[in-house]
Amino acid sequence: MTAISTQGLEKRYGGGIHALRGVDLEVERGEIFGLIGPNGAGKSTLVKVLLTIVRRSSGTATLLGQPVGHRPTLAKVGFLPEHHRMPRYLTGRQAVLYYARLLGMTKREREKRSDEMIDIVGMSHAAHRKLGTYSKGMQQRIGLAQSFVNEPELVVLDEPTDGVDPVGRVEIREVLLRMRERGTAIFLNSHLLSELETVCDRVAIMLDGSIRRQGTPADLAGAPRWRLAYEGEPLNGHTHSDFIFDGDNQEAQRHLDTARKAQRVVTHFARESISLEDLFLAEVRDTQGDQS
Amino acid sequence: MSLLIAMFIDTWRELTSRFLFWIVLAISAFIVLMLSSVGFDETGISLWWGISHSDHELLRRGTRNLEVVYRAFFSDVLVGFWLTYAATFLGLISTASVFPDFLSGGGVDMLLAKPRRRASIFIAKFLASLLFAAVPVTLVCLGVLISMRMALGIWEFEILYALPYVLLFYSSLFAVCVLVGTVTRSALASLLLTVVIWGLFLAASAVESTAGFAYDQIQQDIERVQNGDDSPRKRRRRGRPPPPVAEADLDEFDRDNLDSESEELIAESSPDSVFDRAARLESLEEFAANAAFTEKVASWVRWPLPKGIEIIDLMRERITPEDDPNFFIAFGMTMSGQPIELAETVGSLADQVTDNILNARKVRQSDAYVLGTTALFQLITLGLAIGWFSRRDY
Repeated sequence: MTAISTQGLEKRYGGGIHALRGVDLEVERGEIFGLIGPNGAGKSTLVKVLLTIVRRSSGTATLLGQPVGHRPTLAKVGFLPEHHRMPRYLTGRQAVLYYARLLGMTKREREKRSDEMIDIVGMSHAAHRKLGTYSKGMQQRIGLAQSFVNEPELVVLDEPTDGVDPVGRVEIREVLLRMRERGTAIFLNSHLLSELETVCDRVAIMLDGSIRRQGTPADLAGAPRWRLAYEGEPLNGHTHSDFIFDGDNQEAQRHLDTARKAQRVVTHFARESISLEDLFLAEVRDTQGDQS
Repeated sequence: MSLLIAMFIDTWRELTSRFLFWIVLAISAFIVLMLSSVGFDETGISLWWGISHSDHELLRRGTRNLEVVYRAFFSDVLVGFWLTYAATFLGLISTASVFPDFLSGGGVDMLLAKPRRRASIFIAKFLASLLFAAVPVTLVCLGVLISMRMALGIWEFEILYALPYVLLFYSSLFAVCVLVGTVTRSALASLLLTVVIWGLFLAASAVESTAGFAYDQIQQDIERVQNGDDSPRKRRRRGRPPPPVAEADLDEFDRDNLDSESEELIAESSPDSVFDRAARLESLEEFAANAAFTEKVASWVRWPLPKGIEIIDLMRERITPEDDPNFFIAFGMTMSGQPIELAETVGSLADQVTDNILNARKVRQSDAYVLGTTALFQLITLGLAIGWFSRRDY
């Protein structure tokens, strides 16, 4: 059974805004799935449709095997929205307890799980301070604690490391990995592509309301990419003596042999890694090219 | 139930984080404290918890004046003015932002993603927000109840009627505030529009009452004209005590030396005066018809609106016996040494003179009508707000 499944999901807002244009997506249980896309691509709308904060125009979607909007299922889902605003008059602990109560948890469960999650996100020292006195990063951690308080089967996180310092990011990443080990599926929206690449089992690139590519970061990267540089004139029709090419190991060996046979001094030869950022930017440029 | 409890706890924390809430609570507590500092014994009144004492014939334990003044102070000043108008206005200022904040992006998202019906979330938040009014009213009611027991030795449990009536009054205005806040998501817009709409309610009520009052007066005038009881002489006479001596014999008057009253008497018996009376009657009837029409239109307009003034009148009727004068009359009488037993005659006369014109005509409508139409207005207003909240994308 999948954690999230959508088929042909569409959302049209008033004013002719077509935010989702037939989104097809599958997120498996126990995996961390990353969604990337530029501002306005429809990522937040997709999340809101899944959690019934926004109503879909057409298409189907299920959460944990149930149609979206099935209330008992929502009790098994954790959520942290982008730019969330928790009540500033509550302390960190009160906030986590408040959202736990809204999830229908018993008093004993609430208190036990709240303290546990506050400890996991490293906020025990400030749990009794008002949220109004927290930094952005501290608020983000408390937000993360409330999203995991009900031991959810699925957690949807929209920019969870927004405003968090590098050390905090690493800690949050560790929390996510720990939750995955417990079998929780995590759906992650983030602009930080390197972060997604590090932590996600699979990613999808969303552009202009639809999913353009999805798969594991390795799948998306495709064939290996190499860089070869040597001194002297370019060989075999190349225009530069420092160039990048795609191919397997044999192909790379062939390029290297050609340079050596021609008495060129090789100054650089290495397998280049294709980052998610490269892929993403290439996809965005393609889309912009198509549109123009 | 857990949703309601969560909302009550959350809203209580929210209210206690607001400065105005504490201001209202502090003023209410101060008033109750001041009231409790006044004590009475068999000889008179003591102030500042017995520090100062003065003998008084009427303001002492066991007198009716004391009970009436105390009760009227509660219903007319503490509830009728402070809790109903001043504290309600401060309450609206303080709570106008509750729903716009509640619906702000990032805040409402987290609530809507929880396994709760949107309507349940909304209703729970609305009920919890009424704490702003409920807490000061409860404080005042209980404070006065205890103060009265201490000062007069009696338990006046009727005082507790103020709680549901003031809450109904406040919630009907707050429902408007919530509807506007839900649609516009602006605290300023919801406050301003609520105050404007409150003003319109009062204006409609004033028009209805004034037209009704005018109609009553004209009917009395018509009756007098029909009975031939409207001559300037008689009209003047109604306003003064009868002359100490018998009226002059008309047969023996000196025509060259008539006083003005005698001239009027002669004029009234002429054929012209009969014509004048008919014309006056026609004019009055036309005026009465216009007043009746205005009252009817105002009454139709008011039918679906909350009946704020009438609710407070109903509360006063529950708390104070019908023949009790209002606080200012009772206090004035007591200070001038008049026992309140005279209230039935003096009070009714004084009411006509001093009561606000809006209160002069008692609305001839049942409790069920006043409370029912107000509750219906609130239900419809809230229904619209819930409908908007439930269907909207956030």
